[in-house]
Amino acid sequence: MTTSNLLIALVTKKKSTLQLDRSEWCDVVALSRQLGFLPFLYHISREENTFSLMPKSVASQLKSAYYELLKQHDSINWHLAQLRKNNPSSLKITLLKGAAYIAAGKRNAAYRLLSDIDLLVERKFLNDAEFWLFINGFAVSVSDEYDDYYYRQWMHELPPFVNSKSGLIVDLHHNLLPISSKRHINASLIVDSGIELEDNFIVPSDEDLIIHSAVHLIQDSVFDRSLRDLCDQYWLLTDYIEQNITSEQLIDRAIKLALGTDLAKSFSLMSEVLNLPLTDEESDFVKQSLRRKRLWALEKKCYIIMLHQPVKSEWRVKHHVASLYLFVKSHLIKMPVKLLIKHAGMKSYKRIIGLFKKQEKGS
Amino acid sequence: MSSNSCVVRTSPFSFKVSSRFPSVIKNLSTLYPDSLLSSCGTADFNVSIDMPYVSTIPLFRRALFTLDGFAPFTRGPSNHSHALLEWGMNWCVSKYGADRLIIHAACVAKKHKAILLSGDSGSGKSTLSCALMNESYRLLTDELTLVNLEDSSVTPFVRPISLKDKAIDVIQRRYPFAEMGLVAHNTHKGTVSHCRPSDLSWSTMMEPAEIRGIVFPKYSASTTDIEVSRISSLDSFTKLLEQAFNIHILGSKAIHMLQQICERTPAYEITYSDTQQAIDFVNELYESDN
Repeated sequence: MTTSNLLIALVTKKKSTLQLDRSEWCDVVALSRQLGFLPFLYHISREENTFSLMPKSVASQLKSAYYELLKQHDSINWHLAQLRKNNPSSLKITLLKGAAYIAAGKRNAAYRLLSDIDLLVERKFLNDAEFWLFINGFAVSVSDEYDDYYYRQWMHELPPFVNSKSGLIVDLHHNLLPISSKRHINASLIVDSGIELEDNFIVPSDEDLIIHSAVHLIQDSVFDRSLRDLCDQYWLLTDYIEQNITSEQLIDRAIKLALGTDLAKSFSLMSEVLNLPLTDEESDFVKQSLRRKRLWALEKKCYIIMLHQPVKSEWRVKHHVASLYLFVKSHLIKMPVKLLIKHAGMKSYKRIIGLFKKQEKGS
Repeated sequence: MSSNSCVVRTSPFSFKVSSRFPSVIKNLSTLYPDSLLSSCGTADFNVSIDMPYVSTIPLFRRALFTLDGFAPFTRGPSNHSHALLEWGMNWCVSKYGADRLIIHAACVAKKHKAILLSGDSGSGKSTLSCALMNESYRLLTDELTLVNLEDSSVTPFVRPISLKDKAIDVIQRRYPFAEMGLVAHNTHKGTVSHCRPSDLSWSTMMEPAEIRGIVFPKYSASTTDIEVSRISSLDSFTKLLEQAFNIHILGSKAIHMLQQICERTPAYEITYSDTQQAIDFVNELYESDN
């Protein structure tokens, strides 16, 4: 069994942490470091009460990851509380992804590491939102003029904002997809159907959380978090089905937002990689949505390769090829070919210049 | 060049080291005992030191440390590779083994009574801990003191002692039999070489110890006679707080534990130029603890 299959078997509860020997533990911990699954391993080990049975060095690493996650969540909750209190123009703020899972108390929040807080505001309020972040100690970190232009002109978010004291990063979105993409949507649809947890603080509806997670997976250009994103959807979806019995409303919502293809792709990947049983309705939806997508078979193969990736030092040619294909594809979703060529040219030029400027340090 | 690998069974974490540089693997057998080295097996951290590649072009005479393919630091000259490896191994533990309180301090012990030697880089704590190790103390660590949250005992993390610049000569002159690894010149920390821990330190590397004395050493060439001052528990707490890497992550439990350690443990600042006087002081401190 490959290490990725082992990790997937733990996620889908086909295997218990009791069954792992020392060598399997070492492998699965190493892969989890890369994919962000260490807090999840801590969580299931605690559920299965297996800490005293696993190698001490493994237990130590899992506890270490758990303490780090607690600290991270504390910090995020503290910053969100400050942002809520200090909101003079009563902006309506919608939390996305990890921050939304935490605020909405989703099951996967307990083991979800966050690299930043993702927020969504309607585009017309962007200036107010930027000012609001500024008075809360967050400022744009990008000092490169081209990068700043790239974000503001074409992307679905502004350049990352960094807190001057804690270093926490906020990504301020005004859409789920880049505005240079043909498929970008009206953000107010997400805001209006969200749940207002407190005054002006909103989390997207359960359907929108799953759909956005799917959109993120399909448009992302980095693949070491793909399995975690897919598992996020898996955990959200299984809880959703438990509450709502069917995924009918979810599918309807995705079609209404014109994001059905993304959800269908993610259903298809969950079925293939995580063995999620699809109902007849879900299978029909997947077939119909992807019937005309001639490149989906190839794209799916690439995703499956990347979802089963080993640690980076063991990547083979197929992993490099698959990630390159998906990287190019994710950029083609984001922008038209002409713009992509221009952007790639600019990035390559800057990279070559950067190589000469890069300073070397011992550590 | 093919890659060679070697499993280093240190405690509490083991490492599998791979490198295309023959000197790196050879240096391991100078610094670690044969009983801890094996050519195959699994380890907690799979690390490597190799030539970096930029767009598939290898950079000869450069070395890059990676953990499972992830590079936490930028590359350095290839003749620093053995030093980069030791720093990288420390990084793995400070990043992923942070369920214990990690204090940037050296720690030596006799049986189960430990003395903590803390201070900023360049204060001489590694030199002093190396000297004490060669004077029949066992070394627990020269860099990362791992304090268990449950019982405030120190888990040894025995590894080669990193000596810088003049400290290398000091140790070699005093202890001609001390085994030293390869020298890395002109690193960002100066000239660096590692000293192999004593057999006693290796044989007791699984035995935790209790902190019974705290010393903040400061090497000063202009001092003629050793200056010793006892400091308050609040001062030693404040100083150790600055050196505790992960106390902000562990939070109140670790802060409370550190406070208790400082309240019950005598702490001293010493300024010295003669290593023998510093050793005598630590011996006295150890003897006075009944």
